Amino acid sequence: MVRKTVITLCTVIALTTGAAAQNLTVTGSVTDRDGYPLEGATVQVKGTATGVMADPEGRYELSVPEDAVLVASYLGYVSQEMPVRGEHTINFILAEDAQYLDDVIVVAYGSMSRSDFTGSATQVSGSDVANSSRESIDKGMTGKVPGVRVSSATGDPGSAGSVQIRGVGSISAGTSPLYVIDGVVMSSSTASDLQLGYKSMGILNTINPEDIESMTVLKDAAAASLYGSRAANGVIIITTKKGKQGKTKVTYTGEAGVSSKAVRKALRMLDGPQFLQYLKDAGDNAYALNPAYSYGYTGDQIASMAADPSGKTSTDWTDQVFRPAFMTNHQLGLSAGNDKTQIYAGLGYDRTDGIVLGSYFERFSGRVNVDHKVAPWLKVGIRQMISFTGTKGHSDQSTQAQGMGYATPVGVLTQSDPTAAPKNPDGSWNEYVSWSGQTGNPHLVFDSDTQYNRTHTMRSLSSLDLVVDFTEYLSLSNTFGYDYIDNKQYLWWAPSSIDGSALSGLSATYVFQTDDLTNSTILRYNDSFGGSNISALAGFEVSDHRVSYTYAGANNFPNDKLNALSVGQMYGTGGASDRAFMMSVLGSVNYDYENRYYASASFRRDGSSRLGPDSRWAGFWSLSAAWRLSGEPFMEAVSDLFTDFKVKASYGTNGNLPAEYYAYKGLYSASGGYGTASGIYWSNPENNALGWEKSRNFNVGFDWNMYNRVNVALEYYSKYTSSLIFNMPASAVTGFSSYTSNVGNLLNDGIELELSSTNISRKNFTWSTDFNFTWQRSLVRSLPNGGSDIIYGDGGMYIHREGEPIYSFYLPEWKGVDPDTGLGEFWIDPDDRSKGATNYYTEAGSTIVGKALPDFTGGVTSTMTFLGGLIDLSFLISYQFGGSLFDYPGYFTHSDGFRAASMNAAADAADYWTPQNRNARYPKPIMNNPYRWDRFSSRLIKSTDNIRMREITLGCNVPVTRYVSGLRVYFRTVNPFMIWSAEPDIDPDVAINGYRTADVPVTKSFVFGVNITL
Amino acid sequence: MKKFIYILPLLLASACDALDQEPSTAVTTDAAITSVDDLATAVNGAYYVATYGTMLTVASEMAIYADLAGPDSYQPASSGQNASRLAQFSLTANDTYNIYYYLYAAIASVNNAIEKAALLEDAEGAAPYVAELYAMRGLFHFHLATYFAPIPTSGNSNHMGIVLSDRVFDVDYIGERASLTDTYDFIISDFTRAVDSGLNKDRNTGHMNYWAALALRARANLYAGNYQAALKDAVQLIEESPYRLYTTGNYMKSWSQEGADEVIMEYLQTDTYNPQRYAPGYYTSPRGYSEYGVSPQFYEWLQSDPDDVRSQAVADYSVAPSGDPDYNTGYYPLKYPGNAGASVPAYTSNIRVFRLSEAVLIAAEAAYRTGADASVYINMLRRNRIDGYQDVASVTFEDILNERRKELFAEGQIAFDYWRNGLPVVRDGLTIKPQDGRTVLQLPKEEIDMSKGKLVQNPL
Repeated sequence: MVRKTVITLCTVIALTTGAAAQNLTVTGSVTDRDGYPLEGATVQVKGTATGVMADPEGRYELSVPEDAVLVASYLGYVSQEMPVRGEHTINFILAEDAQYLDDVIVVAYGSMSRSDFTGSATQVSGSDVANSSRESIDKGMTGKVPGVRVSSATGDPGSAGSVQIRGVGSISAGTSPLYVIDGVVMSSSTASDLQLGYKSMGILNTINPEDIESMTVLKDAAAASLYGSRAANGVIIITTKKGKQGKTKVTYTGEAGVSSKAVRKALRMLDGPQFLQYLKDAGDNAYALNPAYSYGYTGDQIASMAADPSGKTSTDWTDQVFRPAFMTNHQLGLSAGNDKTQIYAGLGYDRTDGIVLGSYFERFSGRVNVDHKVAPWLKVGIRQMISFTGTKGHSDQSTQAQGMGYATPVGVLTQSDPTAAPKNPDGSWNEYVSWSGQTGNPHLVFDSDTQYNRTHTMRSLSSLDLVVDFTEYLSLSNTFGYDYIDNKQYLWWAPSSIDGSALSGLSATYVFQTDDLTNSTILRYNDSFGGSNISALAGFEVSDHRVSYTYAGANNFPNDKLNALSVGQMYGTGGASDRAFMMSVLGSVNYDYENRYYASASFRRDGSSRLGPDSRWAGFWSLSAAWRLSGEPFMEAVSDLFTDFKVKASYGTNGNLPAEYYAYKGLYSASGGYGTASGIYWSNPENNALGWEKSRNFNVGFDWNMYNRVNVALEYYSKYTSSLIFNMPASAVTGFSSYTSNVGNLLNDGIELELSSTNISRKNFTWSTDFNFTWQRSLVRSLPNGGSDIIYGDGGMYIHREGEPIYSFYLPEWKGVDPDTGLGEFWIDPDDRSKGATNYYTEAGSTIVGKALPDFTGGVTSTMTFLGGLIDLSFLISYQFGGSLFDYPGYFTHSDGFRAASMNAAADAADYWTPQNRNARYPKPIMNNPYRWDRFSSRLIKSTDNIRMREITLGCNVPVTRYVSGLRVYFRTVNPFMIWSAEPDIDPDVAINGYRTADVPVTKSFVFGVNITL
Repeated sequence: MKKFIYILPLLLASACDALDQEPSTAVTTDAAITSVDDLATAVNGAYYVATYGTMLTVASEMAIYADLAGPDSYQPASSGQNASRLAQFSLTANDTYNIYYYLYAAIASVNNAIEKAALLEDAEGAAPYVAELYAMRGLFHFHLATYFAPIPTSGNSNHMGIVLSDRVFDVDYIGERASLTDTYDFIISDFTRAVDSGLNKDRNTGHMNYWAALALRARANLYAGNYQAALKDAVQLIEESPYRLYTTGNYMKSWSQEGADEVIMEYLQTDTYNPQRYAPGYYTSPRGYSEYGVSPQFYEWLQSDPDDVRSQAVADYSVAPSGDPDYNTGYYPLKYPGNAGASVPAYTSNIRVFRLSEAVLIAAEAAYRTGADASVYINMLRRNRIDGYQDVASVTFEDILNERRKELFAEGQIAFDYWRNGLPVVRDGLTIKPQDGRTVLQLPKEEIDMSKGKLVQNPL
């Protein structure tokens, strides 16, 4: 870094002293797209040494020939060329260059020049993330980083997202990456440490994306092995904004917008007349088979029980359950500093209403980062974040549980009678709209405060950095981090509500607390001698993780009016606490010779309380090397094409810990009871040998810059995970449904390609594109017990089979509808169709009918600026191919009459067999259908292939400089439309395991924003 | 290494000890049962697991399984829950895991506790609990056998029993099914161990005491066709046990009572420990799932003798209160009104496993089968149920069966009574003969898949 500064200064001196023919004075400014002046940017006459540096206001003045072309450049920004053409004022607005932004890359326990880095990592800017999701940093990464997959089980605001880096590294242990914020490992709390299963809640939502400077995804062992036992799923290093030396900068960003269900056709149901016909047919078909199936009624009799048997009323309940939802966001930022002290402060408020009536997400957050140089040898950094996050909503189905709750959005939607009107003639909400009799009018259920889930989360993230420089070469740093999360969850089921009536009301309060204390002490050494550069570090780290919860509940409330616990009668209490401790030693060495040959090595040894005493300590290491060919003399002839060209390779090990705290211990649980007495029971079998899950990672690739315009990065990786922490299914006869063991191997490999280029760079038009592509596979390589299959999941719908992808769906295969009888058919043995077909689900054999993970994923970002940066337009398209999802809501809405007594059917289910419609898509409906064609089969497996417009941003940098230094207005939309989708009736965004829960689908949003810089 | 770590700054805990963390709600297996008091708690724990508050356990739907499957069952509503599926015989191998798991898990805890009890110094203090543990093991196996195997006397061609869990197994153990004969021999021998100990003769509500072991042995012997043995145990219960038949005066009150006169064994349900909506009480509530009612014919039949107190144990809810469209009209059993003082009555009724009147009925049936006089027992029961009852001189088999229908409906027995006597269950278009595969539940798909062919599925 020091070397680079010197070079820049020399260039500037050379530039300013140069002189040529001058006949025109051009003035102007150089700013970034937020209007912030770029002090020190150079403006140069193309092809000459003539140039100047912009002043602290970003202004420049230069005498040039009339026909000159000016080039403005600034480190980390795309250079811009403008022909003078006799004009006196030329303003440059430079776009950040993702490639140059990475010039310094944040890595494990430090940062380094990208050129010295031998591992695999991708850095994204905080603003890129924040633009995609104001809610959560993980959701904002969608489509932006090759090898990274972001998914979410529900579209509720505030729900948890999940991130997978380079495939799925574990079967039973966690697959989520390790998050490190400003050098401190974030709380290792999992969802279950912090909340009740009723409603999905993302821990990362507590972090304001606006406070983020950059996020670095560490992918291979060379990059991540320093995090040892927690690095197997990759590491995401978050760096928050720092104050900058120079002019004080105050920014305000305000946004308002609206969101709605992204895929319009998703979850549409039969309309009134269709429903009546469906009841009639399902009833008659059942009656003909056995009157008991239709409760002794004929189809006409059943249809006459609908709210309006005339067929004149038709309500689309999708529009009643879901709504266009309002969202707003306000951000205030301050950056200031001098040569000794730099301060960043940010305040943010976000409110996003859910598309289901009565739900919202809200966050207040504040952050102060102070960096101060106490003495030439001592630097202090103090960072403090505090946030308050609130959500309100309804029980969801985000965990893969069987059944569908009556008071859940999809539960209410599917059970509402489309022949019932939402309102009574007098304008009040119609109470009696439920076909099953178990649900209620969505307006009364979701928008009446009679039944909801509320969370209130406080998070405080504190860190203290002390750096002592002993000599120029040697320094010691100590980083102390404390991450405290307190989540209060309130559940209220009023006596009149669906779930509350049996209990005469239920109010429950859960208080979850987690605190994580981390301390790392690192000794660093840097030196250069005779063309060699060496940097090394050694350190130790301890981390102490504690969680606890307390619960109190009351029932028997007198009425719906009050829900404080004291109003009801005691219903139950509970509480428990857990703790995990880890200690580590670590070290690494980076060496390079003349910026051409690079080598790195790292080592870490971890001990964890989560593992058995026989195997709780383990070491993790990595080796890596790189060669910059473009630095070699023999490449000089092609130095334009190979502006920069580097090949690299790495190999190393990483680990993964069990998510459970005491999985190795043989335990008697003391949480039971019988009558009024306590009870203890055998709850966990002992396995003292339980150890780390280990992965061996290989990475090879190149980085290639052509003509300073095009960057290509290509990598191949393979990750072989052995000693999987595996919940081995056990026979119930042993007393356990599963036990934790180290067995089996997984292979993840793939190819990642990044291609970014500046296609056009003219005064009135610039265009750059970033393209990323990932081919990825995750295979089960070996399994215990001689490699025999392991069938798991809801109803045994997934299989682990050697050589097959992880999350393979193992289900009976649907043959189709018999056009003669209207009955559905399954293959008796899907692998040997000669055995014929059967009408009965129970006689159908299973086979692999799809897999959740796609083969190809990626994204394309395209950015254009017009009129010298006045207008800019960018969009992001994501794509994926080769994966499938399991449509659990479809199991309810395509029941072929089985659920006709309680539920409506999906709109597309209207195409069922009748004697007049023999080539129908679905079989004939039969109430309480004894054949059970609806049960889990290949019918519910749907392709997730799609090309989706993820984001479009259109911005205008309003050229006002009188009162503010920058004013930008913009319009942004997220998930506006599907460019192409294999299954237009369903949203293809699904959780990593491909299980579409009976839940709120993904949303699209349209937002208008303004950004002011003072 | 250790020395190095001890000098770490800011390290709060003494280092290597910190790598040994203990849970707050569990104790290690070795430290769990170190005293007779611990053993008593472990006995409770096994009941807790067997009656775990969820769907398809012996304290939820399975408590009324044989009623749902029986001839007098009727579904006032179908919410698509398990009770109507049991009534329709539509539970598949995908659905039966809970039924299987919780009972075997309870047995595993029982076996573990028996092992640990043998290590206790106070062998005398431990003995009553060990006797109870054996009786529990017999009972839990008996439940499993009635669900997952045919009843020996039914004439079903399936002669497979269940996997016997007679000791602590390694986690990778996969068992094979014992024969039906061995299964019932095992069950009876566990009850016999408890009985032969001679311990636990005091009333002990909610627990398998001496009398409960004797009672369940009588039932097992009846099911196995050992009528003499069944008669002998039943008679001993009638003559020697501290339990008394209800009278017409206290019969109706007894359903909300814990430790009522007649109840030899019941599963305790409390505000804290209950299966909520899967409770029989919620299934028999017109404002609940309403999936278990009695047929109008059965209702009429009971009403035909208004002097019989049992006619009051069914309710006519055939007319909905006005303005309540969520009310599911029908005829409902009133045997799950909620324990006295329960916070949510529909969730919280004790599950009666064995009442003295069943001993009387077993005695009657076993007497009939062995050529002895059955009328004495039928008269004994009826005198306590019917005001102004006149003794009869003789009874037919049908009389005995009908008496069971009247006395034990909604208590998980009726379909078994039909099938084990070779009779079909006939109800609105359904005829389920004892030989029918549907009389036996499918073993869970998970167990079959895992066993790699070792565990044989019941024929459909």
